[in-house]
Amino acid sequence: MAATRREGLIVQEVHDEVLVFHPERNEASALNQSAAIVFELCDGEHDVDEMRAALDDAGFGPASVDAVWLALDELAAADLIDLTIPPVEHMGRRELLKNLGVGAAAAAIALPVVETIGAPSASAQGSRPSTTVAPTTAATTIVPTTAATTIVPTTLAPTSAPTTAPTAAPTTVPTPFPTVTPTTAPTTAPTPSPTFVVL
Amino acid sequence: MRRPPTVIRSIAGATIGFDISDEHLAAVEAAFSFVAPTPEVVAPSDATPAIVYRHEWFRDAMRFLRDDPLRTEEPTPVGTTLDLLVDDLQLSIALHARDTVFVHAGAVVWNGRAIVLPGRSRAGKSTLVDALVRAGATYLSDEYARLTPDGQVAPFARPLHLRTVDGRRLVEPTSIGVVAAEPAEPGLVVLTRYEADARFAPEVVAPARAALAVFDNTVVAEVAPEAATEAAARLVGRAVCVRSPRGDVADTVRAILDLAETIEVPV
Repeated sequence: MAATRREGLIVQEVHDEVLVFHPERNEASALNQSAAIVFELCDGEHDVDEMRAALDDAGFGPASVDAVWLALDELAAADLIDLTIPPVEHMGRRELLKNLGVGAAAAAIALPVVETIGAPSASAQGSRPSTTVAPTTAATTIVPTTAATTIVPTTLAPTSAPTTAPTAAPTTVPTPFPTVTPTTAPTTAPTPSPTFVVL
Repeated sequence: MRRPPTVIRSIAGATIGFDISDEHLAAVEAAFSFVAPTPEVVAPSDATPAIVYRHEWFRDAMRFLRDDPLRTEEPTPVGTTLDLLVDDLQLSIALHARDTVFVHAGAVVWNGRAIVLPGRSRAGKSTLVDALVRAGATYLSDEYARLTPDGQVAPFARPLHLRTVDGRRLVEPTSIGVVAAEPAEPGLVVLTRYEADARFAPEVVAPARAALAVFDNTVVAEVAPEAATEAAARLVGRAVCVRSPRGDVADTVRAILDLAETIEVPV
């Protein structure tokens, strides 16, 4: 197996995750932590076992080879890597997800996720003004309000579930925002966000 | 062949040529005084602007044209009124600014930290920003968060553009609250849009996914992707990012300000 990152990609690390821009496809991809770990090792030198070990070392273990293959499949689907493998080694994504559905729950693996969108074009940017424009005068009778003084702390439920793995093969997309087109379909956003501290 | 512009101005980091009347130029400069109280005059020998606005007579009426190769190959009519010219210029500045990255986003400051609300047109940014400022937040912008190279959010404090049934109403921000004079450190990024009957129930968004959402609202995503990805990653890396649809604006404002009070920004 040989997996090599495409040349010319623009890679930005965001905490333990990665944002990648593919200039030729004019697309951006978000890689969660486990996908980012595999992506980092796509240098043509590391094999699947080494990638699996890296996932283990990062706390995703005991990771299975299927998780690595899923990451590679996701990365290849987004054209972020060039993947050369013997056909017999490569299971389809559906089969990988099926295998990981039970195994991932037992192993508490955060499944690799790659989400990809097209870059918004310059010509499509901005909002056209309304055809009728009101006079550009300020509101006349508005008094500035002082800051709120009584604030009730809000309990926040992270979508990320660092300690909870999917219990079944994912089937739906985790509530993306408009125009986000995930290339895969896990049920949760599995990337731990230890730096997002909510009191 | 493009004619050289009569005058060149630098506004919010964008170098723009104008071949319009002195009266119109003065009106344009006044319209952008919120971001450039005294627009820098650029000598033609010092810069060739990538974008030029000019006027022409067309069918017995005067109209403005934009010549911007980043958007269209041919000069594009932008309208016959100063308001339309100013509207178009705002996006041009966002697209051509070289010192900051513009993100389609409302932005306010609360407790010294910027709250950024990315979203395209009709996402309800202005309505939410209006309510936040009336609740005591400091106004940065209802349309563009300007991300500086050092990761701060700079003001683009244009008049708020509030939609009405027959058009829009412009509101001077100083009439409803305080306007930021300086950039602020980011604190909270809220991915939200109005949905009837929705209740604002924010959930933390993983960093790369949040950066992708910010990138999706970055004006220069296509023309300067390296700057766009870097700015998106830097913003998200220094803020907590949450997402939820929203319904009632008053409830949403309270929840956002509560969040801004309670979050601890990653370092």
